[in-house]
Amino acid sequence: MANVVIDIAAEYTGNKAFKQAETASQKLEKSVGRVAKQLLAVFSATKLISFGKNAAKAFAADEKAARSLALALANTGNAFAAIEVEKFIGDLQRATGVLDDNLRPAFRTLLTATGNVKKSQDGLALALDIAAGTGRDLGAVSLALAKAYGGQTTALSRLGAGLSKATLASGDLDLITAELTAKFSGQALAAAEGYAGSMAKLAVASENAKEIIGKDLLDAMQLIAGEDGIGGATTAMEGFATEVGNAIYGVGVLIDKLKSIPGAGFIGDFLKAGIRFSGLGALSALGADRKATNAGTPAQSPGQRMAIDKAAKDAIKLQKQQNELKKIDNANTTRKLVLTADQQALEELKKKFDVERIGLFAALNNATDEETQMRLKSLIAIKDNDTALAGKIKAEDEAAEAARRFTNALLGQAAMIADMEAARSAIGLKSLTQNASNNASKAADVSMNIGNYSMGDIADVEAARSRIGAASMVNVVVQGSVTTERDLVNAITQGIYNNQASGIPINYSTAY
Amino acid sequence: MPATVKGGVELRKALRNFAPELGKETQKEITGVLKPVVKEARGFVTGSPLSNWAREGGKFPVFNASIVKRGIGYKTTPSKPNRRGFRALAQIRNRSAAGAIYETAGRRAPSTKPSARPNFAQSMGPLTGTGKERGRLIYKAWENDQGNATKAVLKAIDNAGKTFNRMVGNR
Repeated sequence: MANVVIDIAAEYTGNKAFKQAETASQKLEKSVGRVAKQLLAVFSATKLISFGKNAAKAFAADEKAARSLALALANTGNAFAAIEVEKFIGDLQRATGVLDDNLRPAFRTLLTATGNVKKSQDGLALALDIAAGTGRDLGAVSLALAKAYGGQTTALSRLGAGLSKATLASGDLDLITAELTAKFSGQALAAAEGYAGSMAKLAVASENAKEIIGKDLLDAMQLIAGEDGIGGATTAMEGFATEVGNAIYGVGVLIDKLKSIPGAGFIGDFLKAGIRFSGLGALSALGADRKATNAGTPAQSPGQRMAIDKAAKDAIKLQKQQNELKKIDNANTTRKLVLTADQQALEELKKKFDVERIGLFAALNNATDEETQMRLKSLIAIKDNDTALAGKIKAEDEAAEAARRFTNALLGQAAMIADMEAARSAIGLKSLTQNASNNASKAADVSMNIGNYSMGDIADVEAARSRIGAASMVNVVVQGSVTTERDLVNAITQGIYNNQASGIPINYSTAY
Repeated sequence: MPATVKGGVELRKALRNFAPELGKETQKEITGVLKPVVKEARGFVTGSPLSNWAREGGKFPVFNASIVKRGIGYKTTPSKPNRRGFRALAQIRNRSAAGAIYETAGRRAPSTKPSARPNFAQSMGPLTGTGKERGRLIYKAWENDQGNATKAVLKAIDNAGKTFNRMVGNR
């Protein structure tokens, strides 16, 4: 499928095509070899190799010092300050023109003595001033200061810094450093100015350049060396140098011979120029090409990419191992499932020949009442260890119980209504079943005897209803009031009149 | 060669897992940058550059302007690694066959094999851009953009990273 794409931001994550990468690096090796042959025809192989070795050595020494300092920081519990310290040393190097190769060991000495990054930074600045002011070696000054931090001021007295005996004898480091600061403050910066200072700064820049080239050279060697590592690269380099040396000698012989031919001297000159231009041109082209490639990858060096590839390989290996383990686990699970199924089949078979179970089923078939059937089912469930059936039986049992309670509650309600009817008829009122809505506006003022029926019965009804899942709602509504005080008085008065009319005397017993 | 960033893919994963809202915002920001470029590229598709190209028949893909326009788009999720192991965090794409032909025809010199047909390429107009990044649709729009989109995308990713680190630091 056609797919023209513009990639906007990319990240190197490593790929599966390690083989291709290897081929590409081999191709690069060949092309580098070709170009280097042309280049070395112009320049002396020995000089170049010597420079390369020096640069690599400088970088290695620098890296070793940086690692040592980082370790010292970690050991003193200041690992977090590693970046800050590196920056401080870099800044100090640029400002004072003192190489980081000297600054790092001095800082490390002070850090070991003080264990404090801030104190060490101040101490290093002071040591630089003292070293510039006394002309002593920075290492010696920093060691003397470090000893002073430890309580030994003898080395400090021998620096020729002009410290008074009283100050040294006091052992008060604050006092000592204050006196030293007063005497040597600004010496390092002053030394960095002027011609000598500029030369020192140039030397620093040159050393840094050497270290940078050394780093790239080692990276390139690692790239070229491939799986054989740096050892392979050095062997190849030496063999390569011999070959190039021979080639140079051959070119020299050729030019010499051409010069010896009358009228052909210009050919030798032309050849020399041609070689120079072709060599430099090729070098320039290669450098530009590589720079362009690297310009696009500012954050990832070849070393980092190799590390990514290695990590990717390791991850794949780990994944494979995990997959193998998962396979074993899955096989075990499958086997377990098969065994469980077999076991179940065996259990089913067993059940068919269980005499007690057969008897229970026979009894169940013959049972007529529900309670017996439920009991037999429960026994079968217990026998079969059938939790599902037991649950079902339990639910059925609960539903039956709820229905029973519901019936009882309804009966109770009916009895209560009957009692209420009796009470109403006793006081000469209309039946509850009759519509008493006309009296609804009258205030209720009659206490009714509701006998043994309480709100608990209604709660029972509700509970029973919810257990059996009854959808309908039973509401008992007592509408309106039954009488008023005046009606009651009238009724009693009327009763008395009736009694009098009937000839029944009014006395205590008739009144009550 | 696109600008490379370190940890871009990891950042996208982290955003998806721990700060999905921020991830969506970043994606929106990148989309906002890429959309105008895509729109401009689609604008370059006006009709069949050659009258015969729009006719059906034969094995050669037919130029259909709407299909070509539809094929131009963008992608804001990381791509699969290419042969050299690089993953693009965002892409502008021209995916239709006819669109790809229209985009790239004439890149190779007429003398190279397989023998190119200069008339075919010339009649489509000049290529815009440099080197392998020359074209008539997305590459032209990209060239016109003058790297602003790249800057904006990198800035969006950088900002997302900073915000995410700040958020994680606050937790």
